[in-house]
Amino acid sequence: MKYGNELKVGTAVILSLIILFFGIRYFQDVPLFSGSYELHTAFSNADGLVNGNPVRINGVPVGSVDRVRLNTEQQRVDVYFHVENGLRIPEGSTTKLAGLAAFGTVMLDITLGPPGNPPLEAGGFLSSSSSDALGDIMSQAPQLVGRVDTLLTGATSTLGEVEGLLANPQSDLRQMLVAIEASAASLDRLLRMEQRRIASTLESVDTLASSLSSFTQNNQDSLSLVVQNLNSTLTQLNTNLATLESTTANLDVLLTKINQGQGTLGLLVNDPGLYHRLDSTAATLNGLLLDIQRDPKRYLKDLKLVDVF
Amino acid sequence: MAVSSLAITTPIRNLGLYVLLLVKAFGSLGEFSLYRKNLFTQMVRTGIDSIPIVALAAGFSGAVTTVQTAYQLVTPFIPKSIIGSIVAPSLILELGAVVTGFILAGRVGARIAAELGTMRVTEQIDALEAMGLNSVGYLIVPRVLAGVIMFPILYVFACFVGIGGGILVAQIGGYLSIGEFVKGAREFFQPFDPIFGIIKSVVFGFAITTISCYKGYFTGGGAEGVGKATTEAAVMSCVYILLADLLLAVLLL
Amino acid sequence: MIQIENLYKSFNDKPVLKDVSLEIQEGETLAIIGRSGSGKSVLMKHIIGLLKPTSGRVFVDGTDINKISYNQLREIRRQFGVLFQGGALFDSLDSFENVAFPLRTFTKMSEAEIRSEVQHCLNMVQLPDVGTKKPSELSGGMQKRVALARAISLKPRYIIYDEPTSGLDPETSNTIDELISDLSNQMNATSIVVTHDMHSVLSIADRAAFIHQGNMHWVGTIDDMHRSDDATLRAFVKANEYQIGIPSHA
Ligand SMILES: Nc1ncnc2c1ncn2[C@@H]1O[C@H](COP(=O)(O)OP(=O)(O)OP(=O)(O)O)[C@@H](O)[C@H]1O
Ligand SMILES: [Mg+2]
Repeated sequence: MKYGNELKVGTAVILSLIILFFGIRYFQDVPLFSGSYELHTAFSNADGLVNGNPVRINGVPVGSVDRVRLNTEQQRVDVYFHVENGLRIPEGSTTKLAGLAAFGTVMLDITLGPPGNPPLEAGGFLSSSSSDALGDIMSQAPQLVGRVDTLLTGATSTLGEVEGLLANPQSDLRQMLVAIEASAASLDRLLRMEQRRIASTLESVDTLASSLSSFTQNNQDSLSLVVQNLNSTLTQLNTNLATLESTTANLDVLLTKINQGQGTLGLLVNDPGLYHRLDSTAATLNGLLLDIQRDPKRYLKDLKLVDVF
Repeated sequence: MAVSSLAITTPIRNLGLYVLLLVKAFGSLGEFSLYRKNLFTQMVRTGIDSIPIVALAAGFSGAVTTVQTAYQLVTPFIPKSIIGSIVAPSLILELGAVVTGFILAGRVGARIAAELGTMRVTEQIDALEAMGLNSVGYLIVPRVLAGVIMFPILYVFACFVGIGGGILVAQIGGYLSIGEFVKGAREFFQPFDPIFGIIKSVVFGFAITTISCYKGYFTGGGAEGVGKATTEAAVMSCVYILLADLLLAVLLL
Repeated sequence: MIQIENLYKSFNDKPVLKDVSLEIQEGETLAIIGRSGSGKSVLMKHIIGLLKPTSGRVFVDGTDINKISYNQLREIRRQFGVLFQGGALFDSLDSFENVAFPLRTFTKMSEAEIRSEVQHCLNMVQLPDVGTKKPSELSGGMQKRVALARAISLKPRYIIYDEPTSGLDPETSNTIDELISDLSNQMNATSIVVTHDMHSVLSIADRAAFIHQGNMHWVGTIDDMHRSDDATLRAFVKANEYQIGIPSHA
């Protein structure tokens, strides 16, 4: 064989190039034989998404991320990725980030739009919807705070009405006085009770948050468990707030009643002790609600630690 | 000359000799017809003939790394795919090139030094020169080129067989499934990693072949000199592989 | 023509050649004689630039070979055929390929032409059927003859033989001596024969140069050598047990 050596070397070169080419494609999660096409999406926060991270539809890998570019003009992160040829992604599909950067497992999930829509062309754009486990809490907590805020405003205005009524010496509150006294006492009791429950709820949330932040073992399963617990805790907090809300509503009804039977209000004016008790109850409620408003923020700061580690 | 000044000047002289040899070799690169035939012979001896031993070593490296990583990761919280995330990059970034390097330092480096050393002490190099042949171009250029070209190819094979060995042991030994292994490997895969490995293998191939050619080409002192050159070529190649490994990691990673 | 002027050579401050001057005429056969270790091989390597002189100059056809570029030196070397003392056959090639090597490297001969030329050279050194044998499968004398065949395969203008007949039986020695004579006559080659073998010197050389203790002790024709009364030369010659013709003074 005259060209025996050349043949051997040539074969080795070709073989190694094939291994290299398909090896890189395989580990990059690019389909080995069929081609792929590029799509484009954008996030406000890339959450550690990098080149080569998998792209999934319903948990099935279908491609990977090619480029992650910071777009300072529009204050967003442009993400280019490719998916297998022949995969039909209808218009109206959305993307979201899943997984945690801390564990190197950030993924780009595509939620398919209505199947009737025409498919996206290569280079098409998908809008993003951010909602991963931690993002849920992050987005849910401000809502809760907002609700507490509304509630507080409602309570304050209701109490302001009460105050307004009391300031009117012509009003007859005599008959309602006993009812108010009882109501105030029960409100007081209720608030004290609620205070304990809310405090203990926040305490347990706090414990969870601190245990979450001290959670250095990189375990996704346990973490997601914690995140679930946290979620249910927040749901509980939500329920508690609902109770508080209905209590305030009751108070509202009560005041409407007072408004209707005006005759006994004069007695209330002549009884400064009662007035002060009502006032202090209102102050307690106000303070408590302010506290709730403050506490979740502190607690949210704790939560953010999770993001950092 | 005093002993102390010799201790300083000798290494510098040797470095100069080495560099001049390289310059002469590069100067002869253009005379392709001079070394074309030798080039393919050397490529077969350096590359093709080394495939079995490189594959064997790489396969076992992959298998052992897998078993040891599995042994160290006993915590149930850590997903098993992490084994794939550790074994594959280890092979691609480090073991594939370094294991191949050490094997070639012994197998190819020693052979080159012994061949050229024998040619030197039996005046075969003089005979080539006396004919009007450029002995550096004829003997050294094809050996260095063969190393630089074939080493990356061996590296690719080493990674292929190494990862294959890891997967095989993972599956057979029941440590984790192929799917988990590949999933883990994919999660941390960077396209630059194999590029880095190839750069490394080119540098290693260059280091081994040039050091061995230098040692062999300037052999003196008969059979004993050839033995000394052979040993030194293998040892120096290993030392410079380690140095180059560190240097490249610092520079490129 | 080759001229060596005031050549000094020392290895690690140890002098081997001290002020050697020599002129080799076109077409002549010069024998370089001297005791073992006197520096004959070192001198011969200076002629083709394999060793660089510590001082002094070497001219080949008027060109100072130590003042020209490497590529120019290679051009000059191509006019030489060199038989090294140890043969220096390429042990990776068989005998045929060793002889064919210069032809393949420096000529554009066809494979058939190369075959016939190599066979011709091997016949000349009386080894017609060693072609397929590796150098390691040949005796020392056979290796030397294959090397000789390689040295002459390109029909060079200058042929340097370093001990062509040492290690050979007298009959083969005679054949090689005849071959050297034939080559210089037929091809009008200039031959430089490094040897201890006075029989060779007497049968083939026109002139002889005697190196002693690193000096060019004596240079002259064979006739002059017969008549010389130089004691050192006579002692050297006598040690070879050949009668030159002039009775010793004793
Ligand atoms: N490369 C070298 N390095 C150091 N010394 C050398 C070298 N080559 C030759 N010598 C020394 O030069 C001297 C002459 O050596 P040379 O080979 O020329 O002897 P020679 O005359 O050819 O002897 P012989 O007839 O035995 O071949 C010797 O003493 C040898 O030790
Ligand atoms: Mg000699």
